[in-house]
Amino acid sequence: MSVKKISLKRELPTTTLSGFALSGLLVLTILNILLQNMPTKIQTAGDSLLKLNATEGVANTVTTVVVFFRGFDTLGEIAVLFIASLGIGLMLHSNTKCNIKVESNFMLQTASIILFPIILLFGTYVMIYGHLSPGGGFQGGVIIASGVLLLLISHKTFEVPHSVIVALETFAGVSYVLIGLIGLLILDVFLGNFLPHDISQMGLLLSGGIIPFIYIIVGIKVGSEMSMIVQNLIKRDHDV
Amino acid sequence: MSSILFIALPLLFGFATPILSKFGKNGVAYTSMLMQLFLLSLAVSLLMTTSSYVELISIVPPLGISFVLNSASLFFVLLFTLLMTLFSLYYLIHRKTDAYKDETKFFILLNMLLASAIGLVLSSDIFNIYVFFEIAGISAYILSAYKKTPSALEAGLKYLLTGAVASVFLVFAIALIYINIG
Amino acid sequence: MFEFLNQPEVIKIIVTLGSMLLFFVGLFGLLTRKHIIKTFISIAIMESAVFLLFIGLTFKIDFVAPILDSTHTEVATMNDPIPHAMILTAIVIGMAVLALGVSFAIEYFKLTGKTDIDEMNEMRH
Repeated sequence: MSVKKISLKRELPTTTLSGFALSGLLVLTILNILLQNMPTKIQTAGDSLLKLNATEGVANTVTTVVVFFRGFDTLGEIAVLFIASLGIGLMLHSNTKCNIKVESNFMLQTASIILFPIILLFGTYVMIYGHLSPGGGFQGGVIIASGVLLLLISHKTFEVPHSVIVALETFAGVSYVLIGLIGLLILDVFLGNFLPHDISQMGLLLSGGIIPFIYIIVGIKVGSEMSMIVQNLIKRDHDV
Repeated sequence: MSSILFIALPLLFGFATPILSKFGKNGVAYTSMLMQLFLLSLAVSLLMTTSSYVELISIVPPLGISFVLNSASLFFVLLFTLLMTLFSLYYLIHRKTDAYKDETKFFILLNMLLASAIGLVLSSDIFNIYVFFEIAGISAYILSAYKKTPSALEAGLKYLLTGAVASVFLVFAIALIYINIG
Repeated sequence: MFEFLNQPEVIKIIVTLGSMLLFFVGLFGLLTRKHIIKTFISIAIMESAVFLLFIGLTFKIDFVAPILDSTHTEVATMNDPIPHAMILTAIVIGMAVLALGVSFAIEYFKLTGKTDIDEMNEMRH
């Protein structure tokens, strides 16, 4: 004769209720702190940086802040992306040739071949005009990677060759740090602006010294790394 | 010789590794060892001078990023470079019998950890400290799951979950500081 | 009729309440769900809430975007460019960490077949 286990707990979801209570308490505390001292107009550091932007001669002030005044944070963020793509390649790398199991529709195949150069062109435009209108290296690189993703999910045997991505990545990364070290040699400041940057040239393509070059380098690196991440996540052994 | 070299040289080594791996099987390991010995000698030579100096990045410190190298941070820099040199030496001695599979990635991660730890200690800007914290964290997540056994992967997964929640709250705190003070 | 909604204080209160609600949803999902991928999604929701709060509270009403061209040439009526730069960096860093976490979970599932965080106890024996 088998013994049936009877649960002695009441029919109350205890974990859900305790999670509700804990998170609600935390959010109410934070809300209290935020609503009590709501500052009115104060003079922040960004206003002084806006006034200093005139010495660099670049039309988009967000680009100046990202690349020049806070160039080290951009270098650190590129290092984070580099290590992340390295880790994903370490875990999920495989040499299969097949992307998807089911052959996709002929409409999708034809349309993706037509759309891919347009997406690539748009991404390069956003990347190069980053210092004159909203956009820049990160945005352009992600657009290029989304174009590669479109081709990867609509064709069965498409792949970007591994050596091309590694070559682009190495070139971009080494030249970023070398530009910084050259600035250290010439101007005694790491990532100093050593090309001519007049304020009279604001609005032209070649204004602002080294700022457009650095943003293009950042865009190449981000585009190639995101493509490698996406390719590693799609091409796996299909027994999982 | 400025103090930026402590951070820029390991980063340059990490980015340029595919070029260095064409110099044969041992190129990456011995170049990494040479670079760490150079950094150790730089730190020891800085110990002899007794002045404390500030290194700037773009503009003056209240508005830009600056790195401060006084005797307190020099102690940590010396400690980190000494530990990393000893660790690389230990690995090079045991390399004939017990090597890892993908050695180049192992050395890249080690040097990134060294660069970010030194950057944490030297920097004096709070958002810069957050970025270096993330670099150190992410290279430690991968190093703890390097052998792909189930227990190693589980350890890396739990470490990553805790670290990701911590970084969300860090960004929240930095946002509150900027909103109230500027 | 709705003119009272256009003042800076009311807009700031609305932004704070909205992003705190989103943060609450993400935090609740993180604490009570057991599948590992659901916890990663909850962390992504919490990050989005923090970025919304940051941008919403440093926004000055009736000021323009910080881009200079032929029509906007004075600097005194422009918004703050520093939060934009910080959020760009933080978005990329958060996305990189989450992508790495998902790849760890995929490899772990391939090796042992467990996705419940209550059952992951390889380190105990």
